[in-house]
Amino acid sequence: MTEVASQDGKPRSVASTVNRQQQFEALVRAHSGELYRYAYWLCGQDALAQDLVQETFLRAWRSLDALRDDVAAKAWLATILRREHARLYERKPMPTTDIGDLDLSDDAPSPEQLGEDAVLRAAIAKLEPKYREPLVLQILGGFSCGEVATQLGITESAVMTQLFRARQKLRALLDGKDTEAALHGLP
Amino acid sequence: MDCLEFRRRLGSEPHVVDAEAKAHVAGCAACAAAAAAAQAFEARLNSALAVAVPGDLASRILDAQRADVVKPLQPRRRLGWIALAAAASLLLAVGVVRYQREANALPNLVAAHVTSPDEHAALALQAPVPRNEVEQAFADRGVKLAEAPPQVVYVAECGIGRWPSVHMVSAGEGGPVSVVYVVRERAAASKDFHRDGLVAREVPIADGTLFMLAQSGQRFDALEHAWRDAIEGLPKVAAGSF
Repeated sequence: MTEVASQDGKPRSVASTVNRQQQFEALVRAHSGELYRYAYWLCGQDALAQDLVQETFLRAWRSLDALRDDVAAKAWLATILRREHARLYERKPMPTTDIGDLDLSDDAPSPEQLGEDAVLRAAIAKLEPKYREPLVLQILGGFSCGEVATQLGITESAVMTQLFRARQKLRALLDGKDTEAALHGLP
Repeated sequence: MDCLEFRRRLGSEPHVVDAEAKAHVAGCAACAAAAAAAQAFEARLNSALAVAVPGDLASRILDAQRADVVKPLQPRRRLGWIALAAAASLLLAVGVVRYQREANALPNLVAAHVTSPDEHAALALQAPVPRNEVEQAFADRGVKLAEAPPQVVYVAECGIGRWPSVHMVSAGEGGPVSVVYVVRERAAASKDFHRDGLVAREVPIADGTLFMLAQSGQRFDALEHAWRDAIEGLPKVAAGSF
């Protein structure tokens, strides 16, 4: 069987190399979009977010053999990305000035929707990272509270508290209300 | 489950409705309305968080990955590096004698090592060294890399004073960086310093110390991160699914 040099220095069959490349391309096409959005809400900058996602996938490529379960791929990629961001960019505050300048998705939303999204984005950008990050992981990533807890290295109950407060703060920012009872419409 | 408990649960997991929550909603019109409002708010959040993804992002990532694929082993290169390493070791000896009156501190020795005349040739290299040669250099020093090392254009197994080390050069935008990993000598803490006109940083990683020296510290953060991953390993795969 024909062999080629591999990333880990061990001989690898051509078929295996092709499969590995195909696996990687499938990962990129499946997850690059949602990882970009996660990166964007971590750093708040389009260029940095793109750099983060590219670096994340390059690191994933070099360690692809360690990924034995494709089901866990997205969580694995998100962990790499989060660590990459923490190492390189966490000291930089998230800018809020360009939030409203972003193009929106290709689904051609209505002007009303554009305005509503811009308002919400500004509110999300104002959240402290400890509230924003679990919210993004839950909504964009579809993680359960337990999975978010694993990602962030905190307890599940702490995640639930932060998610609750994140929504509470967002609604307060949007509605001008700041008490739990008022937010819930309770007396 | 009372109303407050239900609302708290709704605030943290709007889409999770277990049997207890369902039972509560069935008997509480106010909470049923709150659940409907929460679902509507989630839809708004989903829309706001879904910022536009650059259309060519996946293609650019794949292009970068293809450029990152390591070329086949080049056997002759290693002999050249061994010769270079020997020369570097000789110069190190000269360097040690020259500097021992001033200081025997490891940072001084590393700085002396990477400012030897040979370093100029190494700093001018551009072609990447095959990954397995880098791994072998570390293995020869008793260090098994946990992850793929960052790309380097030069690698040599050098002795620096009494300390065995792996000496490398990393090329890239911002200028080349001399990188030296000294095994079994862990610095107490990370430290930036200046030596011989260079900006330098020492970082404890695993049971050794990584030194980086360059005209500018612009790439130090990225290299520190990459080498920490290579030596200590990437984060573990998180549980759960997406």
